[in-house]
Formats: sequence, C-alpha cells, structure tokens
Amino acid sequence: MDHVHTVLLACHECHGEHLHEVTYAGRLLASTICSNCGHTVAKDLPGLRRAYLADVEHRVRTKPRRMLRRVIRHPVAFALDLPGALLVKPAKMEAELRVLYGRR
Amino acid sequence: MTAPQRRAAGYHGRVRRAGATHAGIVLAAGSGTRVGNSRNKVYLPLAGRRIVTWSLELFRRIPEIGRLVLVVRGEDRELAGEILERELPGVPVDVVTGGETRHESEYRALLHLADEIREGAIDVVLVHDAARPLAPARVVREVLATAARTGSAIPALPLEDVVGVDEAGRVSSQARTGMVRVQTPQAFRSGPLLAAYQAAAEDGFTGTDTASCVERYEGVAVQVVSGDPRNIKVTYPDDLFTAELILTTSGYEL
Repeated sequence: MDHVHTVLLACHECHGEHLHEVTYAGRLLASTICSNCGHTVAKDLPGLRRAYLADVEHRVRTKPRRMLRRVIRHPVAFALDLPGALLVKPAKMEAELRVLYGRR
Repeated sequence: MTAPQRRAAGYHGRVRRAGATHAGIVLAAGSGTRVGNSRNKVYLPLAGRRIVTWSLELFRRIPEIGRLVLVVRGEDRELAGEILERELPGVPVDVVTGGETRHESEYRALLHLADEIREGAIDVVLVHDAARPLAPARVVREVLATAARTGSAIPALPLEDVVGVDEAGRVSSQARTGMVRVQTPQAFRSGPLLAAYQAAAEDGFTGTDTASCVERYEGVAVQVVSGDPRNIKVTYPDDLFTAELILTTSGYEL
C-alpha cells in the first residue's frame, strides 16, 4: 500500500467535498490535509510512534504466516514478486520513518 | 449496460454456502466523485485492510448470507479485483459495474441476482454502503430477521440533541416527532425488491434510497430496527480516525 492517498472527503472547515491527502505510517493513519483550506487532522507524533512500534511488532510476528499463505495460494507470483518487494522495502521503511518524525 | 463479471479465478456458476439463502450487495460505485488521480474513499486503507474489505467482511461472517456482490465503477474493477484477491482470498465475490446513480447501481446488482431470485434461491437481499465499514453483526442479523418476517427493514438511530423548527423559524416540539437517522445495511425480501426496481426502470423512476423504491412500487411498509452509533459512514477525515480507533479497541471484531 502507498503511504499517501488522495481522496475526496468532506471538510469541516471549508465545507463541501475537497481532495484530501491521507498519510499513513505503515498500517496506521497519521494525518489528513484538505487541499482546499489546508485543514489538518493529525495524530500526535509521540503517540503515533508508540502505536507504530506496537504495530511493527505485530507485523513482524505475523509475517511468516502471511508469507506462507501467499506461497501456498500463488507460489509463482510470490516467487516473481519477492525480489521487487525486497528491493522497495528500505524505501518503504524510510517513508514510514519520515512520517513518524514529521518530515513526510 | 456492462455485463457483470465474476471475480475469482476458477469461479464459475453460483457458489453458495449450504443453507445460506440471503445475498449481500455492497455499493462502492458512488462513494465520492473521481477528481484527477484521486481514488474512491472506499479503497482507503483502514487498520490494515481497505474500507471496502471491512464492509464485505461484515457479510462474510454471517453464515446465512451465501452470495456477495460488490458494485464498483468501471475504472475501479481492476483495483477491486486486486484488493479482493489479497484481502479476501478464497471468498467468492461477484464484481458488478455500477451505474451513474445509486439506484442504477442497485438495479444492476439485482439484475445480476435476478435468476436466483426468480428461482426462489435468494430470500432476502441486503444493501450496504461500502463507506460504512463498522456495521456490527447484531445490526445485520436484526435487519435480516425483520425483513424475513415483515418484508423490509432498515437500521436507524433516533435523532438526539435536535429541535424542530416550524415555518416561522420558531422552535417547535411538533416538527421533530418521529425523525430518525437512517443507516445501512438495509434488508428486503428479494421478490418484491426486484419487482420494484423493474417497475421503476419501466417508469424511468430513480429513487433516492432503496426503501423509497420498494415502498412506492410494492407498497411494503419499511420496518425500522435499532441501528448502532458505531456504524458511521466515512465522510469527514475525522471519521477515518474514529473508525480506526473503533476497530482497534474492539479487537477488529464488531
């Protein structure tokens, strides 16, 4: 999943539906920004970092099971996708860390 | 009209759980207009899965629901297929291309199920907004049971902290009686529901919601059952944070 998504949401500040940038740190919501008025809804960073660490721990713990499920269901696709997934992993982690330290 | 297609590879014909006589339709075709490279909000991640996945998962967990139909925009078909493959592996979900309006999307989904409805294989059809990922199973069971008994059921919450205002702009206790806030999933006996939508299509009528169409053409009185305050529709950014919190604090079980 990408860590920034652009969707139409209603804005409490400027009213009406406007594009919003929704940013994630891993699986967790981090912030939303209205493209029209800049209204931002965001989790506080220390709290987000704590939740992120707990979530990473859970992801690491469940990774073998999730990988095994994919291997069983789609062994060829899994083998083909694995090198690419490994290559982009550092960039994904860096993006997540940037969100966690307020540098998006 | 685009022909509906089935999603799962190797999935041909009707796949139904034993004893399951109800169908669930999840509407994801009209949740937000597409602007530029923006995405339909129902495909946003929420607690590790997409919003639309949570909405489908709700129906998947009810054993009496044997058929799942997801209505999407034409341009979202590929994305929807990828998400289903990844997040609901092995769950048969029929993906149907929706129309310009909610009414048309519902009609297309009903046409997709029409043969089974006519054969009597589907008793009750549930219609649910994909943007409501947190509907509790209790609400689904209640609308199902009520619709099976009375013909139709919608979940709703009483309006609180509101006052009625009369034509002169004065607060009036009479103006607010009997008002409720309607939610989904809504449930209807399949035969009258299909008949109502076919009659509406012949008339060129477009209903604003499912219940109004059934009421108008089949004369079925819609029964209200108790909704749930957690069953929010993702509309504002805050709703995303609230939904994530509800999911995590409930252990992802509602």
